[in-house]
This record gives sequence, structure tokens and C-alpha cells, in this order.
Amino acid sequence: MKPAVTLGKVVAAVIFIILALVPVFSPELFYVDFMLLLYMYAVIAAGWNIIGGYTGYYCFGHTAFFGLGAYTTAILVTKLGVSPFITFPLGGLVAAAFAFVIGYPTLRLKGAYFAIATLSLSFALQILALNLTPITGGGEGISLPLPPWDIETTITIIYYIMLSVFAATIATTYFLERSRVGLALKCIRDNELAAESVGIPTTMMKFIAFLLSAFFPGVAGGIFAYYATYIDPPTVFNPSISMFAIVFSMFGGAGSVTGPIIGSAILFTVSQAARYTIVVPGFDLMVFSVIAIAIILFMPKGIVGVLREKYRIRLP
Amino acid sequence: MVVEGALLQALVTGVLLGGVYALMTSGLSLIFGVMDIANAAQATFAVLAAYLTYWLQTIYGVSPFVGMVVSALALFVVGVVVYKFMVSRVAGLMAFTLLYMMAMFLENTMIFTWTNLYRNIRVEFLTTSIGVGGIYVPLDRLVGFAIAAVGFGLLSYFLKYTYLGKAIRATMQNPVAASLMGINVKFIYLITFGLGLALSGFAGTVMGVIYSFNPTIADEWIGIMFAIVVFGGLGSLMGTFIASLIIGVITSIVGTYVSMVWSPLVAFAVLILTLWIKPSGIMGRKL
Repeated sequence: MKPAVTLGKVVAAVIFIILALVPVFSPELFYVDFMLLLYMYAVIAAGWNIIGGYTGYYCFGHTAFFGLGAYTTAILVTKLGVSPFITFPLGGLVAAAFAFVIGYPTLRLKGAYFAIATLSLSFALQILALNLTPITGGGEGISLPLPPWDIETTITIIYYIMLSVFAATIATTYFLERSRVGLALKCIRDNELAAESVGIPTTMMKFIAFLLSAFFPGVAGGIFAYYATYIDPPTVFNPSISMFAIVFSMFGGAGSVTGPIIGSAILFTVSQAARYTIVVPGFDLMVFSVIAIAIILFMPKGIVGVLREKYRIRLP
Repeated sequence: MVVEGALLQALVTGVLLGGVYALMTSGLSLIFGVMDIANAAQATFAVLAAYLTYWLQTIYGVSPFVGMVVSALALFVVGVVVYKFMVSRVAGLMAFTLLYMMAMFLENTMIFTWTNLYRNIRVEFLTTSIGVGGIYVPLDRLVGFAIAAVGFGLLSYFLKYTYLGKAIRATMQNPVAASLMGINVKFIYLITFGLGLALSGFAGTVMGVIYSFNPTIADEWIGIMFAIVVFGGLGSLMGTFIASLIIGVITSIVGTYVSMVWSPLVAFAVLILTLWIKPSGIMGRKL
């Protein structure tokens, strides 16, 4: 019998408490702001990890789910005056519903078709958002009402919301990995035919993974819209968001709980540094894609994989 | 009958457009069919070729007709190098991921060095239209179609009748059997990747003459190209050709009767419907 309280759980709890105290002890608002965006990317990466890392179906359109969540919040708040705290989970549901529509024709097929369809999906949604002007405001985007608090309180509140979504995503991944569904997903990744032949309802399992995987980025998108107070199609349907999700996960270690967190923490810092060092459009993504190519060629199993194989350190 | 005239016009424009799509997609189709690699960077390489021709013309005054061939050859070399040192080390979905990252790299490098402004390769004598029976055919599209048709014809001839082409088709059908017959499959893969990129480069230049382009236009092109490959059926050049014409015509009709802004969505709708109803496409092998 394993003890109920393990070292890992203690470490996780301590880290969570430290993160929760960041707004209290942070000398400048900048750090709170930075951490908030870091959680956002970690949520998208961890969401991607469920379908890409555990199941082995690489989604190239996670920006679509993020953008759908953002637009759900923006539209409901500005047009219908719904409270944003209700629209955040709704955005996640809209994203999951869309994942169902895309997943139905593509999850039955080989992985390459899924990759192609999801890649096209993100472009298609950006075009839709640009041209459904009566609903989405077209290229001019949507301005949301400013939150009723001063800037410091607002950032702190959004910080805690994003932190809880982040914690929820990680907890979901953690419990998913240890459940029968998680086992089934790993089976599908390693050998789909074998998984099917031992009676795993593969299509059903892939659907569960894909819907969960779309839900969390959708929620994060909604929070982002409220945080940024302005969204337009090129921002929230940016292909670079999909790229970040994939690369953060792979760098940390796809198919592990901690991988996307480690990957986001390191690479988000690097990309922000590149972005503010040389402020020319394209430069940060240029640097970033070189890192991505290097990871794929030389370290496809990520940090968690390397630690496990070379140093026998097992991270969850 | 105004409506009929408009319809006919849309049909003609669509077919001309489809021809250029066909040439652009033939490279993707070839690589996908032979090597089972969906090249996510294909459109970005096509844009790169358009830029090469553009700069050759703008800086050195080289005619686009020469620049087209030069950039296609340059892309062949790029393709061979990229395949040899990167793509050949990974397989399947990882290759797709790698190429997607490469597309991102190229796209952002182009934005970084040449900005995201729209550019156009200008060919003075092609900027007019010719009118036949009330239908106006822009000369640049007509010439683009002609070039695409010749290119496509040459490709079909090459694949059907030359030794190398037969080797490529044999590898497409069964790599193991092909290698048992003495075909160097690795070499065939190398050549196919280079050839695929060269074809798209060739067509990219033609697109650059007909339309304005910038680095991010690759997102739109790749959506169209993937839709054509899937709709036409994997590993079938004829399927690619027919699918291109159909998508070209639908795009043009939607552009005429609904609005130009919805044209890019046609490709996505076709892609999803094909995967839904008949994933092997109109002329493909069974999946």
C-alpha cells in the first residue's frame, strides 16, 4: 500500500501555496501579470497534452479553442450583459462542443488527418471571426467593459481565477492519468489496433480526451478576453498559440503531468525575453521555432523523458 | 441573361484558378502519396519561391518567367537539404510537426526580413483582359493556367514514362517491394521531396503573379492545398487535378454569388465533408 500522503503531493501543495502567495509578496504588478500569462499558456499546453501527449493525436488548432472561449465571453458580456464569471466555463463548453464537431469525422482516421483538419480549423475560425461582423465585430474586434475595480485588484482577482483553472487542469490530468480512461488513452497512443482488439472503445476514449483537451483552453480564452478587455481575430486565433501549446508540452515532456508545466515555465520566459529584447515583428517566433525544431530532432521526449531515462528521476 | 453570363464567368475564372491550385498541390500530393508525410510547410515554401522571383525581378531585373525556373530549382535544392538533414530523421506525425515548425520558422523569418506587406510580381503585358463573347478572361490567369497545365502534363509524363518516375510510383505503391527490386528507396524519397517543393515553388510564383502575397498568405494556401489532397484522394495525381478544378470553381461561384470573403472557407468545408463522408477522397486508395 502506498501512503496517502507522498512526497510528491507535499511538494505540489507547497508549490501551490507559494504560487497563491505571489500577489501578496510580489514587489511589482509586473510579476503577477507575468505569472498569470504563464498559467494561461500552461493551461493551453496541459490541455493539448491530453489529446497530443497521452493519446498521440497531435492537434494543431488549439488556438481555435482558445479563441472560441475568448469570443464566447466577449460576445455574452457585451451583447447580453452576462456576468463574466458565468461565461468562463461556458466558453470551455463551446470549445468542447466544437471539438465534438471536428472530432466526429477526424478521430476515426489516422493521426495525420486529424492534424490536417485541426490545422485548417484554426484558419477557418479566424476567417469566420473576421467576417461574421454582426456577431464578432469583424476585424475591429470587441472591446469589453472594464472591470469595476482598480488595476491592481483586477489583476489580482484574475490571477487567482487563472491559478485555479491552472490547478484544475493539472488535477484533471493527474487523475486522468491514473484512471482507466488514461490507461486506455496511452494504449491508443502506443498501438491503436491492439487497443481496439482488447476491447477498448477507442473512438469513445479519443472523444473524451479531445473534449477535455478543448475545454480548458476554452476557459483560459474567456479569462484572457476579460483580462485583455479587447480581442480581435488575429490575437485570439493566432497560430502561434497552437505552436506554443505543442512546443511547451513537448519540451517539458508530452504525456506526463508535469511536462507541460515545466515546458511552459522555461520556454514562456525565454519567448518573453526574446520578445522584449528585439522588438521586430516575427523575431520572437523565429527564435522560438528554431528551439522547437531542435527539440523535435534532439529531445523528442522532453525534459521529463530525459530525466527518467538518463538520471532515473521519475516525475509524474 | 445577366445571371447566366455571371455564372459562365465564374466557371471560367474558377477553372483557371483551379489549374494553378492543381500545380501547387501536385507537390504536396506527391510527397504525401509517396512518403506518407503531410508537408505542413508546403505553402510556406511556395511563398518563399514567390519572394525569390519577386526579389530577382525587383533587384536584378530578371524576368519572372526566368525567375520562376530559378526559384523552382532553388527550392529543389532546399528540399533535398531539408529532407536529408531534418525530415529523414523523423517519421509520420513527428515529420508533420517538424515541418509545421519549419513553416512557422520560414513565415516569421520572412515577416522579420521582408515585413508583412502585400507584394505582387508585376508582368506588364499580362495586366490586361481579353473578352470573348461577353466573358472577360484576365490574361495573367490564362497564362498562369497554361503554365500550370504544361507543368502538370510534364509531371504526368515524367511519372508515367521515365525510369525515375516509374521508380517513384513503385515506391508509392510498396516501398518494401520496390527496394527488393533494386530501387534505392532513400534516394527516391530525397528526390520526391525536392521535386515536390520545386513544383510548389513553380506554382507559388504563378500565384504571386496573379494575386498579392505576404508571408501569412501561406496559412490560406495550405488550407486549400490540404483540402484538395484529401478531397482528390491520397496518392492520385488525377484526383488532385479534378479536386483542384472543383474547388476552384466552387470558390469562384461562392465569390461571385455570396461574397469573396467566404471563399477561403470553401476549402475547409470540403475538407471536413470529405473526411466525414468519404475519407479516401474521390479517387484515392482505401484508408
